[in-house]
Amino acid sequence: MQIIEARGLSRHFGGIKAVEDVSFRIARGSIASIIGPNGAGKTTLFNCLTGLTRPTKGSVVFRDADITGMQPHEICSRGISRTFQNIRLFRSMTVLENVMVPQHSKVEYSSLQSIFSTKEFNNKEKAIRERGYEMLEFAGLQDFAKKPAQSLAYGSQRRLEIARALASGPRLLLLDEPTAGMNPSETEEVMTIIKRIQSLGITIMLIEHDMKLVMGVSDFIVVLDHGVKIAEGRPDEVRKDPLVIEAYLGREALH
Amino acid sequence: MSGTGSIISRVRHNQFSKTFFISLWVSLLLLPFAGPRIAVIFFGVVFFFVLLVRLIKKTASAEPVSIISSRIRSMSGSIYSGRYSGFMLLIAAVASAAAPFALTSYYLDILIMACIYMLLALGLNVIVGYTGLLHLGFAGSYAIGAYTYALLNTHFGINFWLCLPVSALASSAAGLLLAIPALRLRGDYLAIVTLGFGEIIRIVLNNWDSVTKGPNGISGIAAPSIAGISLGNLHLYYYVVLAIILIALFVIKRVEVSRTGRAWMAIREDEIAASSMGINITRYKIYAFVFGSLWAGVAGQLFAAKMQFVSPESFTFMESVFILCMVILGGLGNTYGVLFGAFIIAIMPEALRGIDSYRMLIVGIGLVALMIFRPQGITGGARRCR
Repeated sequence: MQIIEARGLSRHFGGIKAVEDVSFRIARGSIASIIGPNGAGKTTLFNCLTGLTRPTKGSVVFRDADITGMQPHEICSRGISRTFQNIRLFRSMTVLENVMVPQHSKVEYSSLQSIFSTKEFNNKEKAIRERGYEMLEFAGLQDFAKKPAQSLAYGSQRRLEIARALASGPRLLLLDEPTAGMNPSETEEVMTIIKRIQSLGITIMLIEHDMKLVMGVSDFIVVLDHGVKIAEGRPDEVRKDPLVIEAYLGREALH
Repeated sequence: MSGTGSIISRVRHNQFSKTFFISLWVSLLLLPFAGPRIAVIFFGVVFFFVLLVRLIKKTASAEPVSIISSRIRSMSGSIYSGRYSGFMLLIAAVASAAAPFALTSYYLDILIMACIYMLLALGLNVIVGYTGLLHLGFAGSYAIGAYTYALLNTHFGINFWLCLPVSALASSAAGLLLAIPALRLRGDYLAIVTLGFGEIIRIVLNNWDSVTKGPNGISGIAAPSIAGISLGNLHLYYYVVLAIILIALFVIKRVEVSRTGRAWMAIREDEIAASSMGINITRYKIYAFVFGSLWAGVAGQLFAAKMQFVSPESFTFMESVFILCMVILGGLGNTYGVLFGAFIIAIMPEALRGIDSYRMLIVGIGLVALMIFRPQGITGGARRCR
């Protein structure tokens, strides 16, 4: 049973084919990795899935509904959330506020209710705050709740981004290089967090360069090179694929 | 040894020539306005002053400026942390309630204008401070509020209280109309469009003689009254303005701590991340424009009712810039800071009246100094952390 499907997805920037005719299906509850050399179009693919760029051709089907060309916030409220390669936190807001913002589309009340501080407003704000703390606890950041996000250490900022993405209550979580620039022990931590997110029943798509992590956690791998899908399958299959070896190590390595 | 010595002397030489060029530049800037004599004097004064600052910097281990700013920061921090907040609030409340009894009507007049500017700054702060959209035509929204009341009152005799929501709505509607095209733009382009908006409003008011009486303005606008008692007297009118500011402050504060306020700030921090986290950035940008302009409408009506006269020259581009300066001086996004900034800038022309012709120069130098030493505004930080 797939949760998301890309059908012939292409994204061109002028003459450059950043993503060209990519199709795949990701099974519900799995961890899928997108790998490929630098400039292979992995992040552009994520941007197409989350609505940040509109695909030139092709479509994205999420939970049996076509979400191609929808606005990012609509896609988010349907249950896709993401992190970014270069951290994009709400830097001068507090850590807690960072995980309160994404609940925007989940908990709604009118501005009038907030002005008159109605009971409903107070209850809902309390719920938002409590869920925010839950998310922070999940990422091990509860002690920093009142600190500005920019004051966190680099590794913590990465974890906060994951917590923020989780706070929107996604069914599918896209992680764009969650361990970039981390040391081995921090990477280990992120790996456990990813496993725990999976155990909550959330499907994960992962862009990652750390092959140990990719091979360790993935159920399914899609390999991109120059915008084209060159292989897909289980980790052990992909590892042996000659096209993948060529893309990563060059043609010589095969001989 | 000789190598190190020559490096040190070169650095010293650099310092000296840098100081020289800075002072030269400043005095050349001044030359066309003040003539050669004052320019030369100014050169000497600036040269001496900058050299002095550099010497102090060298001898003292820490820069004097940073000591002052960190002291201010820790002071403002303790105000926000609530250590003095109750006390400060009490002082502010007593002072503002007692002001009419202590002041002559000349100063009371200035105080009322300062209050109207505070309201404008609160409104602009929603757009520029919370949401991060640079608005250079806020005087346009202000003008719409003023003219709405002026026209409705003089033509149809609609009273102040009945007209207040109408002015607010008219200004909001203009904010909505502005936001729709402006939304497609970012940064500098947005600033230019909003600037155009302000100018269009002013030029329309100036040229639409049949309705607005053009540059002659509209006079004979009624002051508010309650149960037949006119509140046109400055003492009573002050309390009307004060009450409306308190309401504005309360409402804006409540919205700031709600999901709407968070959405605005998320947009300011990072639009892409905000939209990926489920915030409809188009809608919330429009909302910021509408909600911010609403207070400009109210301020406009307060201005019209106070002056009992409006003309387009009260709503020039300089007015927009002044309101923006208040927001920046106080600290973008910091509600109380913005009130403070508005107060300072509003009373400054009066405080500096003795040295009339240098007023704008001092304001300009002050702003440049602010941007260099304290770009986040006097009260510091985008806003306090909760």
